[in-house]
Amino acid sequence: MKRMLDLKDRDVKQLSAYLDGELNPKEASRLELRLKDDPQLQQVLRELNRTKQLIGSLPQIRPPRNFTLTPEMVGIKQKRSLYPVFRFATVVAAVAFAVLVGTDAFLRSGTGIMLTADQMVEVTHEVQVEKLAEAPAFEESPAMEAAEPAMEAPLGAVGEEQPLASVAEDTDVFETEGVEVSVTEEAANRVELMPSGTPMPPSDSLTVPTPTLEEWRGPTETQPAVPSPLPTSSLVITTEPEVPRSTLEPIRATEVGLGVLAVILGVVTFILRRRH
Amino acid sequence: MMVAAMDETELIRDAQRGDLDSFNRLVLNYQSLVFNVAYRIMGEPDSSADATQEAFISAYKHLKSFRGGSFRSWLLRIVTNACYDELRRRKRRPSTSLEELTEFSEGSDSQEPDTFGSHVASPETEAENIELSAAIQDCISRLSAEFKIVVVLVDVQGYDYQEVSDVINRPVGTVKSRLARARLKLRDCLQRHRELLPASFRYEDEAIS
Repeated sequence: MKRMLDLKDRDVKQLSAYLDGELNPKEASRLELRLKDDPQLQQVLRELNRTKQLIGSLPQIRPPRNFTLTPEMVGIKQKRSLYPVFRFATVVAAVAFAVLVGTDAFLRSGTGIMLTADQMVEVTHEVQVEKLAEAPAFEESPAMEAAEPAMEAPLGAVGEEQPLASVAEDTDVFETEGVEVSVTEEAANRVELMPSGTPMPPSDSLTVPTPTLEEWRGPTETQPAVPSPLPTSSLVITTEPEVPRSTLEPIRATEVGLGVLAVILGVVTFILRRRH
Repeated sequence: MMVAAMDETELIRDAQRGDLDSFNRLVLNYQSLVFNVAYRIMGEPDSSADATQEAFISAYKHLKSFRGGSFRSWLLRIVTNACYDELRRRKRRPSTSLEELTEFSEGSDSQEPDTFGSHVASPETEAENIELSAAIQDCISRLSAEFKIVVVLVDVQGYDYQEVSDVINRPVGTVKSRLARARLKLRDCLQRHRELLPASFRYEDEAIS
């Protein structure tokens, strides 16, 4: 009995595949031979065929809607959120850059750093005087050395941004025996405030009491006074622009960094906008 | 609107590069097939639509794993897997499934959704066709998932054994065996709806086993 059922199972499988044309020619011809003599196999074949046709008669259903995908469905939404972030960062960087540059320019103009055309000429003259002073045939007198700290101290007091230009604005330029000499008003005033009994070194022109200025100057270096073999006829004050200029570097670097950052962010924002 | 094979290859390539519009053209081309397969397996429009949508989303996300061959088979494998998962979930919630089956077998409000090629028929004939379709769908729904998929792909959609074998990732012999047993079960089930069957389709009284 069990063998009969197994045989039937196998026969049903063969008949089902035969209906679909899925038997190889050898199997198909063998089954056809059996079908001729076996009415039970014929009946099963008919019923399987009817079942197949009934199932095949099911109509195709019209989809209730379209199933096209949106970017949100597949997670493309995240890319969009980058654009407003970069736009905001660009604005912040640009505003910070503008504020920093504006503040820097304001501070410089407020402390006399901005130069007029006349003052630029004066600065040029000063540089020429410096070159003359450095010449081997022309050495500084003790009075000149003493006056130098008087120049540096007010500069340090004003602030970091005190380059050569600040000296130029507050400087009185006068000529003594063909050589231009410049002294800051502040230094000159301090000279005037010196006690009248202070011993003054011999000089034809302006002299400054050294001990008083040394106290006022504080820890700054003093160069040893070398007696001049030649008669000193004027006072030459040299300036050292490198010292205040080095203090400007952090601000300038920040300005440049912010400017570059704003440009890069702007470019990235523009690209994101185009892609969007 | 069918997309030519050459166009389909290009659309798949573009979609693999992330072009959603190209993929959506493939969706429009295959959505009817995918929905019909899902509907015949699930037997219910809402969950069929959900499975269809899930299948297309999954297909897009895994499109780079498609290495050529039949895109239709690859897509059908995804949708049948989605249906498998949904049917397994339903099995864990048998109350819902039983209610749906009872409603279907009683033929209360079970109606086929909109169908293609609506030919002119009398209201009486139309009603009979709807009842017959509901009865067949009821019998398919009673099959286990692995039988259901094979019957739907071969007898409803008309695919050959090899393609079904590719879809379900099983040998052709398995397809042949499952289909034969599924047809026997359907024959037995449809005999219970004998009064709905057309005269030419009525079974003889003899049972096989």
